[in-house]
Amino acid sequence: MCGELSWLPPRCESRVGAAHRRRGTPCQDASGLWCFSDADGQPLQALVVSDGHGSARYDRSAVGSKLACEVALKEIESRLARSPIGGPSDLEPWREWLAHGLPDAVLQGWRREVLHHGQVHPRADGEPPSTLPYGATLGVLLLTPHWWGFTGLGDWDLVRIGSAGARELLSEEPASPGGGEATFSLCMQGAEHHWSSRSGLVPIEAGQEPFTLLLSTDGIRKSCGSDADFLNLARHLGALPACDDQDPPSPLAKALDHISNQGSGDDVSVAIARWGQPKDPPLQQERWPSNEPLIVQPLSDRDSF
Amino acid sequence: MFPDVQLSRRPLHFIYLCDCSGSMRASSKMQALNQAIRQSLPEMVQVSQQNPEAQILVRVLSFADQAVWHLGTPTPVDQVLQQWRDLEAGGLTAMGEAMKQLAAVLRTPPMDQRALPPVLVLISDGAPTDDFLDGLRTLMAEPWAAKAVRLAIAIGHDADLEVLQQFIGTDIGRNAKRPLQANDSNTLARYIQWASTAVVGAASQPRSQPGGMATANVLLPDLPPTILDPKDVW
Repeated sequence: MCGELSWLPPRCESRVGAAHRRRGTPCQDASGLWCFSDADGQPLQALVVSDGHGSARYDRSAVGSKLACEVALKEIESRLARSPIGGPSDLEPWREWLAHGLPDAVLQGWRREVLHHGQVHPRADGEPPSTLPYGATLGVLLLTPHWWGFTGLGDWDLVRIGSAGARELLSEEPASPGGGEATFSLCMQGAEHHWSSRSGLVPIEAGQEPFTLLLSTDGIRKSCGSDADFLNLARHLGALPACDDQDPPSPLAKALDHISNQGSGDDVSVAIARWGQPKDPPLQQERWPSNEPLIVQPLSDRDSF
Repeated sequence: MFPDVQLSRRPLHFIYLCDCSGSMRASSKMQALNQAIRQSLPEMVQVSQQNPEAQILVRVLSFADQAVWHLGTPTPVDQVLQQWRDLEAGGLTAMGEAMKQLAAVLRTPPMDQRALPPVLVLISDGAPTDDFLDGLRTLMAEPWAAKAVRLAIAIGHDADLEVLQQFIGTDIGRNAKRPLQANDSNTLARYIQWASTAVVGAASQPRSQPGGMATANVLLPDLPPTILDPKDVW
C-alpha cells in the first residue's frame, strides 16, 4: 500500500435517458463493478460502463451492453484469481494484458455469450444469430494497490480529478471513425485492434495524493455545453455523497437523470473510483469483497428480451 | 444543480441553400419557394417540440451573383417565421461560392463539437455559373459536411441534376440517393415539408453505431409520395 491511502469503495450507475423514457425504448447503457481479491489476497476493483448502439439494426444492444459488462468483470476476476497482481515493479506484462490479452478474452467471451443469447432467443425475422444486433461500446477500469489501468473501445470518456480539483481528460475516442454518431464497437470485425490506443497503466507512487477517476458513457459528455463544462461536471459527480440504499434513487442517480433531462436525452452511465483515506464516508462497505459482480441496467417500460 | 456547468441540448443546424438566380423569377418559382419555406415552419416547430433534446437552428444561404447569408444567424426554429424575409431572384448562379461560404460555418468552431449531424438542403433550378467543383471540394473537406444529411431539390427540368447529385454524394443510405425533382409548386412544398419535418425529426434522434459500417448516421424517412401534376409547370 502507499501510505494510508487506498481505493475507496467504488460506485456505478446507469439511468434511462430522457428521450428513451419518452419513447418507451429500453435503456441501452449498462454499468458494473466488482470488488474482489487476487490469488494473494490483495484487494482489487474492476469498473465498467457500456453503451449499446441505438440504430434499429442494433435492436439487442441493451442485452449486448449488459453482457459486455458481465463478461469483462468476470474475465478480469477469473484471470486475477489465478495470477496474483504482484508488486509495484514489472508492470509491463499488465500493460500488455490491458492492451491485448484482456481485450481478446473479453471479445471472445462477449461473442460467445451474445451468440448463445441469439440461439436461446431466436429472432422473429428468422435471421441467424449474429453479434451485430448486440453492438455496444465498453470502457474498463482496473484498480490495484500498486497501479490502476484502463482499456476498452468506443466513445466512453475517462476523467481524473485531483485532490485540488484539477481535472484532466485522460482518454477519449479520437475523431469518430465513420462520422456523426459512429463509434468503435464490440460487434465490429477487427474490434480487437481498437483497444490498445484506449488502454493505459498508471503506477501509484509513494505519497500519492487522493484523486478520483470517472468513467462515463457518451451521453454525459454530449449533455455538456463544452469540454470545460464536462470536466466540471465530472468533478461534481465524483464528489457526490454515497448511495443511500434506503432512499433510492441515490444522489448520483438523481444527478444523472438531471443531466439527461437537461442535456442530450441519451442514456447515461458512470463508474467512479476514488483513491483516498479509508476513513472517508463508509460507502457500501458490504460490497467489498463480493462474490458476484454488480451490474446496473435499469428497466424501462419495454422489455428488451 | 451544478453551478459551474452548462448542460445543453445538442444543436441541430438546418441550412437551406437557395438558388436566387434570375431564372427563379420565371413561372413564380421564387414565390413558390418562399411560400413553401414559410408554410413548413409551423410543422418544423412542432417537430422541435417533439424532440426537446435537439435545439434546431435554421439558416438560409442564397446565391445569385454572389453567395449571401439571407438568414445568417443560427436562429431557433420558433423564431424563424417572425424574422422571415422573402428571398428575391436576380443574377447568376454562384453555387460554388455558396459551397465555400457554407464550409466556413461548418468548422469547429463555430460548430459545437457535440452538434447533431447538420441537415443541408440545396435547392436550384439551374446550373452553377462559377467553379462549383472547387467549392464542393472545399465544403467536403470539412468533417461536418461529410457527416451532414445532404439533400437536393431540383426545381424544373433545367436544374443540373449532375451537380445536385455531386452535392448529395453517393453514400448508401446517408442521403437520398437522387435529387428530388419538383416540377410544380405543390411538389416543391411537399419536398420542403419533408426535409424540414421528417428528416429533421430523424436527425434529432441520433443513433450511435459502429464506425465503418455502410449505413447512415441518420436513417432518412420515406419520401412523400410523388403525385404527377398534369400542369407540370416548371
